[in-house]
Amino acid sequence: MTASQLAVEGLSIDYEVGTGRYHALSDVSVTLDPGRVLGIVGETGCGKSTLAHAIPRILPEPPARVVSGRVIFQGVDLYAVPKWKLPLVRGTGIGMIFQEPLNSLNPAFRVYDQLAEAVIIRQRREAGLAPMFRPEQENPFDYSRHPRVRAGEGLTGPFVGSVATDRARRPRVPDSVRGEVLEYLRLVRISDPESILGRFPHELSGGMRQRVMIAQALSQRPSLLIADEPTSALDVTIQAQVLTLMKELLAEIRTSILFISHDLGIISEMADDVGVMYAGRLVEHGPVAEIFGRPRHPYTKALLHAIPSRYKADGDLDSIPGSVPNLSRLPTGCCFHPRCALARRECGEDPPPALVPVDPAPTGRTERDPPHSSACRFFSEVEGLP
Amino acid sequence: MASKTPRVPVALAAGPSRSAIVRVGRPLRLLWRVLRSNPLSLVGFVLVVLIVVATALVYLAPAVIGVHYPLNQPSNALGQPPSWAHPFGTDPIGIDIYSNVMAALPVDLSIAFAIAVFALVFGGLLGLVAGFWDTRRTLGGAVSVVILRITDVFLAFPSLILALAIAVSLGRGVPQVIIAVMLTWWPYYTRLVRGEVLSVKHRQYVTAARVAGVSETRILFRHVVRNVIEPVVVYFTMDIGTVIVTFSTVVFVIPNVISFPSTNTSEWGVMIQNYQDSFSALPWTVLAPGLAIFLTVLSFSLLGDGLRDVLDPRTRRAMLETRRLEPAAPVEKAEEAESAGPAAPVPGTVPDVTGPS
Repeated sequence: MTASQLAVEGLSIDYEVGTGRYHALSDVSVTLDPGRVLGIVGETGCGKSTLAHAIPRILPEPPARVVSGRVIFQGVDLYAVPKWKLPLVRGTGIGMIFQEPLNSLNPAFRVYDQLAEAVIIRQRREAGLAPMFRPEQENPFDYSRHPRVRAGEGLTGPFVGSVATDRARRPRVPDSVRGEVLEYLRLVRISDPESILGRFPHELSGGMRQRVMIAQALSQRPSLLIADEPTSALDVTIQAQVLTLMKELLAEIRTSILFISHDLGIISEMADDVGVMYAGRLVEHGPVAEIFGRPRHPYTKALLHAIPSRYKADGDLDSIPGSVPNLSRLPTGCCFHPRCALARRECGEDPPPALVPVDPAPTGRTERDPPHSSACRFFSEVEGLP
Repeated sequence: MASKTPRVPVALAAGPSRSAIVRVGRPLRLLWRVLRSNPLSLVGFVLVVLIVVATALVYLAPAVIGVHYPLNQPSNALGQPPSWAHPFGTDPIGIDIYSNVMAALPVDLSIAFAIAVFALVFGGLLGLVAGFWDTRRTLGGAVSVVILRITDVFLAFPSLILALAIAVSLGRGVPQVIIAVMLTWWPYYTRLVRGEVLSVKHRQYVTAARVAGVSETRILFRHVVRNVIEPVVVYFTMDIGTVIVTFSTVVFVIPNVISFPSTNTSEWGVMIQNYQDSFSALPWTVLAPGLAIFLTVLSFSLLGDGLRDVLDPRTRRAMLETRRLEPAAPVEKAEEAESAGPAAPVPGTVPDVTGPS
């Protein structure tokens, strides 16, 4: 398959809050091929979560405003389709695991209801009872298998799949829903899934809730899964469990993952490719081994250097001098130049450099790997930095 | 616990279609626990049950509770204080006050329910729309701005004054007064529901439902409404009493705004208005309907308080937990406790004590 699963092209998003305008994303472009894991790393406030929420278009607009760019999912620009069609892409097309598992389950619904809703949505779409996103067709939002279309009635706008129409012809929920719910709970290694079906989210521990969340996202078998810091709210042991689990699941359900984290260790474990973000820009992008082995952007280098090492017990922890720039008043030129050891006069004056491919491909790079590119003019000097 | 005990609540074992029926039993049991732990709400609950029973008796067997028709039947007992024969006394021409007060019960209750239900449904729906689709520069945003400005107009007026003005302009008759109060009543529900929707709709679980492919209307009516409904139901319950007071006040303030063609109907506000001249000589003629209003309002308010605790899954759980801590739960009781509440810890899992964050 030549077409990529997801292509974000030059996406710029501003937040308009009060009088200020915050440039959360500036000209971000990434692509993700089927079956691959793209990790996005960066400090807090660099736009990782904005990117994650912008892809399925769940950013509240306003305050968010898409200034330019496109998000192309399986060949369809999601920012060009009418809003009411978006639910068809979500769930079975793009699934998401959120940062805070504690708030991501509806407190009024039992675990069973939460999961059953997701399973039923997928089953109905697969059975042709609900409209489904079909990228391979000319009109990807296909209603042709919908009973009302087959009956020659036609569909009336946004009320497709609404409560009223759903209830009117909702087929009896097949017994398979319960079976599937249990199956996915087992998949996320909940040892006795039947015991938690009747529980409310507040009766589960954080780790359990996170797994229910993951089960919910997976039960829709999305072709793209966005994991927005899925483990940051968990302690280390559960984090390890969840990550192991996700890696195992990758093999079980073939899906591409956009994995967002500020934890470089997790990214190096999980990702095939890595994008490094700084102040709303993608500053370096490439296969994971090359990014971590031979970083070609001073920010990546500094970030890797700042990882606390247990072998280096003496002295202070390393950090990057300075702080993340205010997104409403970005520095001119390269955003990183005020903190950069390599910075020269042109870094602060010329417009920010674009991502350019670095070095010839080293041995071992496969055809599927993206080229290693960096947004630094002096990437060849990065290796010489401490 | 016996290993064969199904750990799933019975409701779920049968699949979601039957669970809805079985789940009705659980709130009732919970209701009882909550009522026991909160004596005032128990008082309210008992009073409301009494009111409902009395209403039914007035309809079905008026003679059993001493209501005699026709209500305006004069007798020889002129202006008598309360006695066994006339529990609330009689008026200057010997009409039994007790019969009138009791006969007004179903009338006032049904009027109050009609007004409050209309306000709940109409105002609540407008509140849902105004809260959920409030993005500026969209069709929904325009609609919600219009809705909110209209509610502002209504809320800027004291609702009683407005109801009086509308009632006067509509003319005499029970439906006219009902419509007058209805028209002033819904904006409070719109505001309440909108506020709740605004606080719920940006929660992460709504976003999570959205990204799971749930349509916007379904998110609103399933995910949002379910989390908004609790304070609204509590407010509704307490509101029943307020509606009765307002309706009676309108009827009291505007002379002869309603008159019942049938001699078998009566209304508390009308009674107070009719007897206000005899208040100093025969105080029971006014105090009896006044007391009836007071008790009805009180009982619905107390019940509303209790409902608040029942409806919130978290306080509900807390109550179950505290009850379980009292004695060490015997093994054979564990099964019963489990079927009674979702919070019963399952052996082998550690009960989670972290609250919702």
